[in-house]
Amino acid sequence: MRKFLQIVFKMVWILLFVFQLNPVLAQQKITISGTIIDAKTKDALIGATINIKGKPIGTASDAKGKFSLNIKQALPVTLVVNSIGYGRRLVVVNDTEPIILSLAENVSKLDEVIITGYSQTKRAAVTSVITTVNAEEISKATTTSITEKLQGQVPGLLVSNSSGVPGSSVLVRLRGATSINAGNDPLYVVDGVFVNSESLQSHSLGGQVSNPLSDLSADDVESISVLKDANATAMYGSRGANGVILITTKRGTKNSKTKVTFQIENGVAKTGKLWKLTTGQEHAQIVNDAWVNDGKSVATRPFRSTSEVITGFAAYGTPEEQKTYDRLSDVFRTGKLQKYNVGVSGGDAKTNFYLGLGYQNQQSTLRLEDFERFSFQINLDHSISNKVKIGTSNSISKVNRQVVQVGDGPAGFFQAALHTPTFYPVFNADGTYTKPVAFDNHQAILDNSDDHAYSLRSVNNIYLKWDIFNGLSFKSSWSSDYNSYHEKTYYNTFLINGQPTGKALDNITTKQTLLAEQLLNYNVTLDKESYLSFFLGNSVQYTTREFEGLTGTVFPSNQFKRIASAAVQTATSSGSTSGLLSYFTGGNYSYKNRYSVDANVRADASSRFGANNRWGYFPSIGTAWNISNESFFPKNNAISDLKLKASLGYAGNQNISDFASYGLWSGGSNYDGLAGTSPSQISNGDLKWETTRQWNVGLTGNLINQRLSFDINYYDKYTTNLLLDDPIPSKTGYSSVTKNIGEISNKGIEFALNSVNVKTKKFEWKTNFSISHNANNVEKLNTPITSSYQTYQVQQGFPLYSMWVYNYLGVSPQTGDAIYEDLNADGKITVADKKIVGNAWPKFEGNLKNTFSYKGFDLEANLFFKSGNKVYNYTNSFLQSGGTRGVTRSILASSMNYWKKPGDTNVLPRPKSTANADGSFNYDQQSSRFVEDGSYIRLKDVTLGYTLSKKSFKALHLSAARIYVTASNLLTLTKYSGPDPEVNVGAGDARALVQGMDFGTPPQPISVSIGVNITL
Amino acid sequence: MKKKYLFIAAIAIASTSCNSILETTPETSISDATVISDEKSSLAALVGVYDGVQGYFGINQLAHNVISDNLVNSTAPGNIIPTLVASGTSAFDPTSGAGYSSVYVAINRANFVISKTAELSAVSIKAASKKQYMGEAYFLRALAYFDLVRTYGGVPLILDPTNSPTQFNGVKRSTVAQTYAQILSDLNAADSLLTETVVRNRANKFSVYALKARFYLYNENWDKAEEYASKVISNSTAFKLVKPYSTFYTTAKSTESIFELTFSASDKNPIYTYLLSAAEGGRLDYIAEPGFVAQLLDASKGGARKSLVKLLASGAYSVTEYGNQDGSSSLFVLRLAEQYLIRAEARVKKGPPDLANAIIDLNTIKTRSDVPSFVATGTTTANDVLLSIENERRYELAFEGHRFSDIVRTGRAATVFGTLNSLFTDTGRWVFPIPYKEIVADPDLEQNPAYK
Repeated sequence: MRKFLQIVFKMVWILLFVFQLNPVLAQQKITISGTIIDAKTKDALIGATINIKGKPIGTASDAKGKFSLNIKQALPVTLVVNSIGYGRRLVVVNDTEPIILSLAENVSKLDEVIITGYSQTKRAAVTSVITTVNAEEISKATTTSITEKLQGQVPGLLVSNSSGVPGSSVLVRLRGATSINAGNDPLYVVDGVFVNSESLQSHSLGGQVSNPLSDLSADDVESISVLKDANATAMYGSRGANGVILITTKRGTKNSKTKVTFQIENGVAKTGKLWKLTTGQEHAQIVNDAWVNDGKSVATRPFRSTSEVITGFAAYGTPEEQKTYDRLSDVFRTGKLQKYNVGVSGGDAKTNFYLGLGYQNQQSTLRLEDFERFSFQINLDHSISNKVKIGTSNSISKVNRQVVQVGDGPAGFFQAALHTPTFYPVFNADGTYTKPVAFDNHQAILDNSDDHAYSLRSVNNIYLKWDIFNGLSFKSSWSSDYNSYHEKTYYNTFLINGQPTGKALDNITTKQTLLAEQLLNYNVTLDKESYLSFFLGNSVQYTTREFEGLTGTVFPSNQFKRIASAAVQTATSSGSTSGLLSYFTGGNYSYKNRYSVDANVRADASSRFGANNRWGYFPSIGTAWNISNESFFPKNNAISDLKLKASLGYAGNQNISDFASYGLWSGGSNYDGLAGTSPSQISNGDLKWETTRQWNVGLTGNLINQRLSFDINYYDKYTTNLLLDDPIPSKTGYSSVTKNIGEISNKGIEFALNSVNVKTKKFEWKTNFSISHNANNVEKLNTPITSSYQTYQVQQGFPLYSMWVYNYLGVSPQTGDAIYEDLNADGKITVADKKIVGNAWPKFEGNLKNTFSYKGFDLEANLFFKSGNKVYNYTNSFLQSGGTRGVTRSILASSMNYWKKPGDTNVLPRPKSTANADGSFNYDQQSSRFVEDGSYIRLKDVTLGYTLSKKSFKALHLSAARIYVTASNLLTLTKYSGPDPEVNVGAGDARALVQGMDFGTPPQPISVSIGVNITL
Repeated sequence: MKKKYLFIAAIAIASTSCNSILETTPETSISDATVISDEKSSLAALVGVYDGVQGYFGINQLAHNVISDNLVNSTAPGNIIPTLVASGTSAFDPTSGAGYSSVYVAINRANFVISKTAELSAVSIKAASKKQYMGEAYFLRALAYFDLVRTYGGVPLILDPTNSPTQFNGVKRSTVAQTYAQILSDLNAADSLLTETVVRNRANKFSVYALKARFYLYNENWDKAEEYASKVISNSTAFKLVKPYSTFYTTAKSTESIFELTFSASDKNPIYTYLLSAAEGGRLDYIAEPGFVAQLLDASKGGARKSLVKLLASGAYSVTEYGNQDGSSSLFVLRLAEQYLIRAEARVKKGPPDLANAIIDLNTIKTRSDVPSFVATGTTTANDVLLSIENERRYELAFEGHRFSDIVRTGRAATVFGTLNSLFTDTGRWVFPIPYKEIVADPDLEQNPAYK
């Protein structure tokens, strides 16, 4: 097949050559010039195309609407004038006098050429499901990445923050999840460059993972297109199955005055609700109760006078002696937010440019977490001739993060504050830090943490586009995405990680993807009624990933922080590479702007797969019917557009480790100073990509004078050959093998409605509403897969992210012991009694946006809602512990409501750490007691702006100025008992099988900022 | 002009059609086809087996300590004999499954060394090295299966290297007797291949003798147990009890050590993180059980072994045996004191009993720790001596993972543990549950009945 495609390619080139060598009859040179204007407004029309009828000769109008065309034929000639959004006009030119041509605006934009990824087609002919949002439409809230701004804006795109720390990972799922192990993140393409969306963080921060998309400034983005259905994603082949997000950055306009814009924004962020812990006295009381309930002697209870000495039994003083120390308020602060942006754009007849310069500094409300980004964007396009254009897009950024291990582990900063029992003082009498429990002293971390990460990102593209002749163009595009993440950490001896003599880490991870793409496009209007477009291309992608890690221990003192001073220095390095070779082609045919059909196919070969399965083929087909263009359809303004679409196709996923198909032995299995080797992976030469089949039907329309538009889609995705780390019997010496096994389905419906409710000269009110539903189900799976937290399991017949726990039935009023459902009725509570009680998927989620403008004022409010998703409150599982964790962990105040005497109902179980007769535990049992409804409605952001009147800014020599106030997360309505239902600590779980888990995650902050936009 | 662009385009196409990008090779790993091909690579693979044993031994030993009455979870100090759960989800059963899968990782590595080294020709490996490496691998495999059988009961016996995920489908659990038979066969193989050169952190003939002594003790072959323990004890040039008691764990490879797993700052023994206090860089997950601490601190019981625990500010005691904060503490697999106690027990239990010599062995250990000797009187019975040996084993081998197996193998678990946790009156609880995930992944693997 590959050979065949190469032959096809060569033939196309030979044909092209023949075309080009056609002798052109020598004629005298004539210049035709003129101006193109809007028939109504008489304004110059920029970018209108002027062609000689029947000849591959043409030009475009400049910023003043002017054009000139050199021809080598005798007059008269017929010019064909076209402009996006305007009607087509034929003009016969008899002399060389400059002419003025007016074009009438087209009521429908159906003839507009839409470029999406590789294909170019008329809007009317588009059959794919693509949601495009422009920069001004997306959320005004200040976020570190563009993805966070998309929350609620694109139906079917689930966006969820995993913590309130800026620059940390964001869960993004388009139309559900199609994979278990191979990754579910969409493919991100920035200006034609496939960019890395995988975190390069190597240093564990306890469930917190950096978001590599935060490297890119959202302020340089012009628009975002989300490719959803198979027809749109199939042209991305083996990487399209999770959807594709195309990000386009701003570019200048040719022949326009240089425009300079400034944005200055300053704000503050605070946390809302936090956890409520017991007082020291309450802690003592409940722990003593648990001690006695465990059957231990009252004499040895932990909270007794320190004068009652009993060997080996610790004494912490009487309950009455206990004091309460608040740690949580020490670790939170009011975070500052600063943002400065400068944008310069413009162009002359041949060249246009955009320069963006940005600085953003966002402090987390959790101390010791800062995000700072310097970004630089330069986009340039230059026409070498009428037919040849070159251009470049470059995003360069530096992100400096101050980080801290947040949770999950003794060195976790936030966990130290939340989980250290409140009765322990922070300082000893002599002023030194106490360290009563396994956690670091939170104040010691505050004073001594020295943990930073620096990322450097450079996304570059250079292209050459050649309009070979009318409608046929060739584009060659060369890209690189360079991404490095440098982590520098020093732990001094006050910190657990730095004991006994200090420790420093210095890790550098780099990832670079090189991409070359060659693309031929052909668009032709065959006759008045039919239109054909066609593309053919290939791409080669090569990715390298390198890791270098240095560790230094045994430092002379806490003043020396660099590894150079360490007595013991160790180093490691590793790397891997992968390659992808692809050919793709597709075509679209539309007839009378009523019927269109298109078909695409992509062939991909990946180095990651077994030699037996290198090549994969991903075809798709789509059709559209513009019902409103039918002659029988009444021509009125009630329904001006109505389009029915359907598509079917296949896309793939190859997101697995680079050498997953190999049988491998690795080094590093050392003993006694000798270098050892050991088998590390069992081979599977048959490994191949996952395939997702998707069909989609959709209806879009414009109603009531185009005041109301809607888009509704139903899809059905079915993924086969799941790339899975299939658990295998441990007796083999391996725990899993990567196999193509299992099937998963996603079915859903998406609806969007945009309405202009009121439109008068002074007042406008618009509403955008979107809602979507997805049902995910694991259709086939041999062996259930349990997550690293043991509370989530992937099981056949259930959705991913299902919570698998003991079913808590309540407390026996007689004994005060917890009752769990005994599924197999054997009188014992064992692992066989665990079941799936819920999952992290919402039943539906959506967004309601209202925008008002009155004179110079504008007001926008985004209300985001999510319903039916469950949250596993792991914090409660640990801290609503009824004293069973003794003096090692803090206790939530809610824990005090426990069973004390027979007859007590609506209470937590009797405090006890020993097992019940059925082998279950009252407290330490991961049960449905901790599975909570995570539905919420949130006022995501509200922005109020005022644009200064022309009069006032003229005096200031500005062309425009706007001041605004924006607030995020002002209000959240939820039944969830923790501080924030929008959480997930499972981002660090290797296979991301854990979603919706709250384990002491800093909540989303409430922030308010004020800013100005100035245009010179 | 056009030709120029056509040329550029042609170059672009040509340069991006290459196939070589699909041929990538891993940088830190090698393909498994030819990995053991000569003496050097055979040694590297053998080192990998030791690394595998390092990987499971500490956690298995810790699980045995936690499930007995010597160590308690600091979270729930009142919960002395915790109830084991197969799901691995309870903090009050922090045994992490006792390392089931990690033991098989070590076994697979040993299987590779045994099978591939055997195939090497005389040109690629010296005969002595071949015997040495294979002997060590046999010994380590025997140790691994021994730890499995005393933890879970009979287990699937895998003796060939794994080449495919389905290779051992259908291999069910062997009985306890079959598992012990395989261990003996491996020990005999190791015995015939290894030399008497004592290297305390590598297997040699004396490591085999010592493990055989323990093997026969568990299998109640008292004469053989005595015979093999004596073989070790009689080599008094190589093996001597150290004094004070703490010397054996504060210095690596002391003369008391028969076989230990050594670690270093760059190849850490992680056990200290479970046992040291926060101030010393640990998490203090487990503390010494207060009742047991009282006995260790008692001059007539623990004696010098009081050095095993350390008083913390809170009043609780932490364990010091694996106390090097850089992770360089050894794990003690076989040591001379145990051989004395094996021989003492064997001498009491053999027919006819040899109480006098048993008491001499017992008092050798007591004297070393400055504890008053056991003095036989006219009314002294064999059971009195056995109880004293049982207690002596508890103090002497306190945190080396013997206590649970000792009480179980002598049939006293209902008496000793049942009073602390009534679930242990059920003999089905005298083995660990096989971790739930192993049962799910292996249809051939049957759970121990009490945990079904």
